[in-house]
Amino acid sequence: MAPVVELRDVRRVYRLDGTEVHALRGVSLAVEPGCFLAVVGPSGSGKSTLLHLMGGVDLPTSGEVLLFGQPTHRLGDAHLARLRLRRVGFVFQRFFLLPMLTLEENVMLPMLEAGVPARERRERVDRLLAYVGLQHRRHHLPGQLSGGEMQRGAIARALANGPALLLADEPTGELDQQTGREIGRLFARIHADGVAVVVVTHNPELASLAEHVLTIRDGRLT
Amino acid sequence: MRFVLAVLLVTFGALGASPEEAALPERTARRLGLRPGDRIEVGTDPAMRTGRPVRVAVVWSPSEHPADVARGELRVVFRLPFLESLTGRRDAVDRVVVRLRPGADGARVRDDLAAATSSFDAYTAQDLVRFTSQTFVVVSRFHKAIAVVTLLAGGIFLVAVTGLRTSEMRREVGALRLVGIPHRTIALAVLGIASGISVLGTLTGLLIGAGLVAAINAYYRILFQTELQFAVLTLQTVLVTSVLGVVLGIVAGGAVAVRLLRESPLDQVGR
Amino acid sequence: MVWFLARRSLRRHRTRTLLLVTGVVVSGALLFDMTMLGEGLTTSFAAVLGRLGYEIRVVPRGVLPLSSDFLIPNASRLATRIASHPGVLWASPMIATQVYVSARGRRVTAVAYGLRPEVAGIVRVEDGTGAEGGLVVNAALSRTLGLRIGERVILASRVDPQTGAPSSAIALRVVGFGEFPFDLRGQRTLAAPLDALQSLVGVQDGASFLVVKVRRGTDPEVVRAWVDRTFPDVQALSIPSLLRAVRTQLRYFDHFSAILSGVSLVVAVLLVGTVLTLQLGGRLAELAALRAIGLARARLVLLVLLEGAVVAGVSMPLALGVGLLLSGPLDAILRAMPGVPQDLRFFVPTAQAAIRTVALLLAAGTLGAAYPAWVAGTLQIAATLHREVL
Repeated sequence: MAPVVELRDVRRVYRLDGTEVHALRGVSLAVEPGCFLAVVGPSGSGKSTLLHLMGGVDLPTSGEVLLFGQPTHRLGDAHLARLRLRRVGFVFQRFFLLPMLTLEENVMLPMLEAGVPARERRERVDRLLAYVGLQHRRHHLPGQLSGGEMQRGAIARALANGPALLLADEPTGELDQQTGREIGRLFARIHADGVAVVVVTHNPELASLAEHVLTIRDGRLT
Repeated sequence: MRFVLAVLLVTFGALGASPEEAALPERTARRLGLRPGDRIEVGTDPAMRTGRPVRVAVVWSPSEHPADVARGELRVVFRLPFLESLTGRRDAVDRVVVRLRPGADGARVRDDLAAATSSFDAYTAQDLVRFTSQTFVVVSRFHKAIAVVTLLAGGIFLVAVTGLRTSEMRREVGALRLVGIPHRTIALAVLGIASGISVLGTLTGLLIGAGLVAAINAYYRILFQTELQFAVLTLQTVLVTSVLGVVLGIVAGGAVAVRLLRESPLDQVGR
Repeated sequence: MVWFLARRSLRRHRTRTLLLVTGVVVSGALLFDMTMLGEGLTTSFAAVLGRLGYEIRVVPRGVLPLSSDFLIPNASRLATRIASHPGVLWASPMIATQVYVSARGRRVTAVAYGLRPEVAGIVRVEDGTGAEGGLVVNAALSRTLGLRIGERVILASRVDPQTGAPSSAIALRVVGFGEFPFDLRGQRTLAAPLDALQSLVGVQDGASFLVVKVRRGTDPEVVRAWVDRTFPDVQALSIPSLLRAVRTQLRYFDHFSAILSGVSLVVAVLLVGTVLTLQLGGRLAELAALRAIGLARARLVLLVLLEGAVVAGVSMPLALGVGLLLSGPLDAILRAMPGVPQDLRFFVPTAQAAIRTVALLLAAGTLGAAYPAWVAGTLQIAATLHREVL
């Protein structure tokens, strides 16, 4: 089976105040369907950049990123957005739940955008909130949730349209150790259900749950 | 080329010995393309059956009454005997103007004249100014009403923008409070920013207003061919605008400062 | 989703949104008033002219359209010749002059119209009969002199300034009370038979102007142009050309309306643009997250544009309502101007004015959201997410 995402000699260079920052230098890797990959490395090593390129949220300066077999730099914004909406789930360190929507509404957002009919939306939301153990908090606003609950809610949102790939950027960065473990277990469960999971993390416990651990240093995989 | 002229009947000293001469205000002369020495024909019927030749003796620039600038009618001045013979009206006039001796009480003379007969009314020059200024009094009232509405819109705008701008400082305010900066200092800082925005905005607005006043005067002077001023930026307007602008900004800043300082600093930094 | 998010985003900061809506309401109300002012005078004047019962006014060539200072000689002959046009139903001379009216020991001045029976539209008879048999007077005149129907009054064209005695006077009976569309506030007016007034002012067969009624189905402009061409001593004015002449004199209100409409729109655009832009600054991370989870750039732009449009949409009914409320007092202020007929209105609410205001407000709200929408559309997802984490 083809990899869900493949990087071929990818470089990413940013210009910052007149200087060039080489975030990634010739990275090549392939993420197979259903695998669990952890990416570790010091701050500023290019972990988040790697994740953003994998998700089509950023484009390489050179090289190729193939997302579900399609080169991202050749896809238009609308096409990339559609890919992300239906086949990729994103989980962020800061959760980024919309503060004016309830948890239920946040989880429903990607389904609304994907045009999922109302009845199916309700069923999916019920299922996802049960999956992450938050049915009793469905009508709460993010400001009323704890960090762990917000992250579980964000994970439910990321799974809204049944993605084949889940990308998580420091998902336990804002959480205490205990809560971090709960999130780690949730990722393991998602992986067990057949979703390819790529986690960028500083957390060794979380990294230890992955099948493969990649270390990135100074923009290069070691 | 025939034009019907509204005729002002005045004994005009500048006219020469010949009765068949006319004095033209500059506006009339310009419209008709006439100069001193030109000959025109004047009459009281469209077919000019009563037409009489007249020489333009002088073109002069009268001080214009604002009520006249928008009117399309033209004026010309003749000697009284000529106009009487032209119109066939003997010893019959529309009005009589009266020059008083120095020190005479105009209002008293007016009242005495009016009481003397029921056949005519008398008005002092001040009365006439009042009557003819009615249009402008009404327009001025209208302008004031509109100004109240636009001030309201502008005020809301100022409060909204100032409030928004200062409330964007939530996180910084929270951090400052957590490190121990006193409320008074923070409140003064917020007020300072709000005042700064409103002062800058007020100054810019005044500059734009001054530019608009100049543009309005330039445009209407050309349109109505007059030297009258249509818009004036007075010290009072400047003061009222400045005070309103600054006060509104301070009020908005004060409201935001109170709200910011009531919130928990931990919430403000997002913990 | 976009429509759902736009609504919820605006509800998020209620005070801010309320302030924004209030600002747009006030701007919108001013815009509506100025739109009404811009069209109101013409609409109202046209309505007043339309009630007069004729389509063309014939005046001496070169005079101001509503002036009655000069007379047309041989007016009945001219009227007959004009009436010979196949498109003309009738043509009738009229006199308009100032007269002295005496009754019950009092004497006042009044505006007098001398007219023939066919010119019925000049006066709206409310009691009694038309002016063919005597005088029809308006409320101001009848109130001043305490007139009743059947009462005899003396009309004079001049009085001796020394003795006050009238010279050239006639006696006529009051046969009706009515209203004259062009009356100024407090003006005393009467209508009398044309020949009576002609003899009073000493003009045999003279007229201040002629009025022409056009046959149904005939274009008044065709008749107007024919009269203008055929009779060099007079000029013909149709209602549109009268309106144009009046419009020229009232162009100040056109300019005022245009300038203030522009200012209202600019304020609305700036208010929406500034508030949404400032709000956007605090939402960049959310928007980047929305992009990351699959919202396309165009949809994000649409979201922000919709927020502006929603603000304008919500403000609209209130803006129209407040504008209508304001128009009453503003109209009353302007109608106090001297020389304004009492039937004339400056602010006339029409469906067209409302539709134009609605369209302009919507456009203003959307245009105001254009810059913040552009900012949202050019958002760099990865850079924004990275910055927010820091």
